[in-house]
Amino acid sequence: MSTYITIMDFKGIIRRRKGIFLVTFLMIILIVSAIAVYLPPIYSAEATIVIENQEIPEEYVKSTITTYVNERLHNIEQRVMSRDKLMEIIHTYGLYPEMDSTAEMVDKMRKAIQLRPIDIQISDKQSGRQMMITTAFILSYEGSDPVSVEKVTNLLADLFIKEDKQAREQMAGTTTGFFEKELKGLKQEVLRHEKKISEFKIENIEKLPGSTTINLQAISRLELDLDRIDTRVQTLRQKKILFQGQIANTEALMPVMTEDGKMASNPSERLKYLRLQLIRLQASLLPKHPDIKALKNEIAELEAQVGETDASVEKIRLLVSLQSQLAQSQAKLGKTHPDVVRLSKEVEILSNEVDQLGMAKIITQISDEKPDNPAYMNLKTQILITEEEIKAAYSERKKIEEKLEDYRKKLEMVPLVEEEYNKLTMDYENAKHKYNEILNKLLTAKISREMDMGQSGERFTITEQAVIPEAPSKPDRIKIILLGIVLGLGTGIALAALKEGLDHSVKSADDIESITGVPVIGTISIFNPRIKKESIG
Amino acid sequence: MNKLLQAMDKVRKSEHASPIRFDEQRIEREFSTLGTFIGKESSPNREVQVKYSKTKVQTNDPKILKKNKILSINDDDRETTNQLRYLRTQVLDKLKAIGGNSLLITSANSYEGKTFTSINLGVSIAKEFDKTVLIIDADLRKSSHNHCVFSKDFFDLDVDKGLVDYLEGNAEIPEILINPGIPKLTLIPSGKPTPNAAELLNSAKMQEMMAEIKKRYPSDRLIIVDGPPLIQYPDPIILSRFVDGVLLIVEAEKTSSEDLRKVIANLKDIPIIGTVLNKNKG
Repeated sequence: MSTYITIMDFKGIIRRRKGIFLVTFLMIILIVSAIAVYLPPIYSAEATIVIENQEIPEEYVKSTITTYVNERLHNIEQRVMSRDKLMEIIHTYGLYPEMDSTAEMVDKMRKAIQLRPIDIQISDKQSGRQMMITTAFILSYEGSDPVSVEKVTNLLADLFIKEDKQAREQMAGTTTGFFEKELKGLKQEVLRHEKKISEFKIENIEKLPGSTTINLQAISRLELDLDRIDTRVQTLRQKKILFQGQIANTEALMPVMTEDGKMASNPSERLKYLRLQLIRLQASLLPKHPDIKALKNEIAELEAQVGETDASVEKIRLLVSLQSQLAQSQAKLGKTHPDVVRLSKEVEILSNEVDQLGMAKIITQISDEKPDNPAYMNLKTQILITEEEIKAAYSERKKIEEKLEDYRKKLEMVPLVEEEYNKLTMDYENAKHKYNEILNKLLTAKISREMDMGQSGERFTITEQAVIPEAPSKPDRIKIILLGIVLGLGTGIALAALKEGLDHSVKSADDIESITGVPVIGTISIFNPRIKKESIG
Repeated sequence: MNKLLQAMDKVRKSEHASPIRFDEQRIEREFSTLGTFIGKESSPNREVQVKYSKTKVQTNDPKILKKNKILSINDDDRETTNQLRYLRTQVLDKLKAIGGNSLLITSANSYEGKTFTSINLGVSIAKEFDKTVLIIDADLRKSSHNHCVFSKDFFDLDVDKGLVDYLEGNAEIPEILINPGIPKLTLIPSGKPTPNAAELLNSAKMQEMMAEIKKRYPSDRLIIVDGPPLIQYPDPIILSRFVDGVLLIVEAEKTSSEDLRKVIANLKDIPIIGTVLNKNKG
């Protein structure tokens, strides 16, 4: 057979195969048309849901919802398309009464629901890049009953809105809830740090860095006090010395009247005077001196006159006075001075006499009790007072010194305490900073939540409700028939080609000659179709 | 008419030489009668019923013949008629070239137009003024019941004896010769179908008959043997021994190229004078 297909061959093919082609073609068209006519009508309703953008600029309030619209849409779709929700709708509207299994119904319903996003191309404000964003979507549902289709579509659209709101609230709530929980923990910590600091402050109230000035002031004040006390002590000492000097020059006893001065008022006084005179003379004169003899005689007379008198007191007093006189003179004049020598002799004699008396113990007592000179007694009192004052000053000084020491110690402790205090403060500041930070975030989140939950955030709005479809959307009968025609044509041609390809019969004189090598000497064409039928033989 | 008479005379003369006893007068009469009545409506000559007659003669209405697809009976200018005329010329030329006067017509399978071609070719040649034709229906099988019965279907002839009867020894040649009412055309129908066709065709009787016929039909007489299909039966190979050439019928869009190759392989030693593309639609 020739590999070239000539027009004649082509005509032959058409003639031979038009039968099978036509049969196939018409059969398919018939079947497809029947299908197209008998397919039940399907109605479809659509609702448009617009995704409205956040009304408050993002610079002011950032939404807590961070997911993309498409993602969220998908999530919501999953939730709306859940088995329970769909079954509820199916039961409410009595959909798919012809089906028994719920799984089948849900499956069919899922297939009948379609979500078609409407994307627009915009250029990003910052980068200027082109990007697609979803601004709205069309929700469609199809079924056999136009009225229920409309109702179900609207119900689904409402469900979408509801689910979106719920999801949004949940998301916003999650954020604030998280911050609130965090904040609670941080507050505890701040309080803990605060307590720690206050406890520390109480414990180290005077060692805190803030009290340094006070301490220093106290120290300088105390030092001043100390100086003042020292000065006073000095003064008091001088005063005392002065008084002592005065007292040394003052006779403890009232002077006895002598011949040269005042007259002794009574024999006892005269006796007293004489006795003292005797002691004085015994120091400078020999005992056998006529003066002494004369004195002793007079004393004896007097004693006989007044009775036994006690001269011991006078002797002791004299001794004490002489002793002080001696000390004064020694200091003033030196030891070798004749006055001093005389005085010391006098003291010696007198002290011997006193020792003999065995009355040394009670010297002071006697002398205190006994003095009768008011000036002396006054001085004595003055000295005692001064001494008391000095004592008081000393004790005061001691107290001040202790205080001062205490303050100094505190001052030394300040740097150490400061270090610890700073540490505590830093911890506290850190905790507080964190707390404030979270608090700020919480406030922002709360505002965002208000926005998201209210009508100002990004949200879904139904802009077009579904309406009862007037004409069925499916099946597109014309399209199906057209498809049938195409299918018929294709199948017919294919079958014809197949048949032609499988047909190895001889078709022309050329074929015969090429096969047999024998010339074709005659060709007989068909006379008419009737004969053709009967020409068998 | 002169020419025709001369031709008849010639025929007569040759018939005299034949050892088979033909009723020459009968033939003579026949021919003249046929020549007279040809193309005219006439009642069929019932003389075929004569028991001893050599060639049964039956006249036929050309309309019936035409209806029965013997198209070459007409002189019209139809395509098929012209094609048959062309085929006749070609066949005669080829036979002349090889110097033969007998032809086997066969095909690969049944129903591809062997008999149609045989008869139409025979009739067409018989119409040539100087040619007489004998058509032998050598298809003794007729395996399919719907196979066209040669004489009945084409010529509306009711025959009771044929080639089988002769080969089986039940009839003599003159008994089986029949004239269908067309001048210069004689038929030998096949007779009743037989299962042992190959043996019969291979018999001495067949050989004898063919020799006889060939002798009786010199070169201006033509013997056309209508054989059975070649793929199914060995008969055509046997028959080919008795003829000078083979004419192969190929049915357009039916005979497969494989079958055709087989046929050619089987006939490789026999001269094929040509092929005929039958039922051409292109």
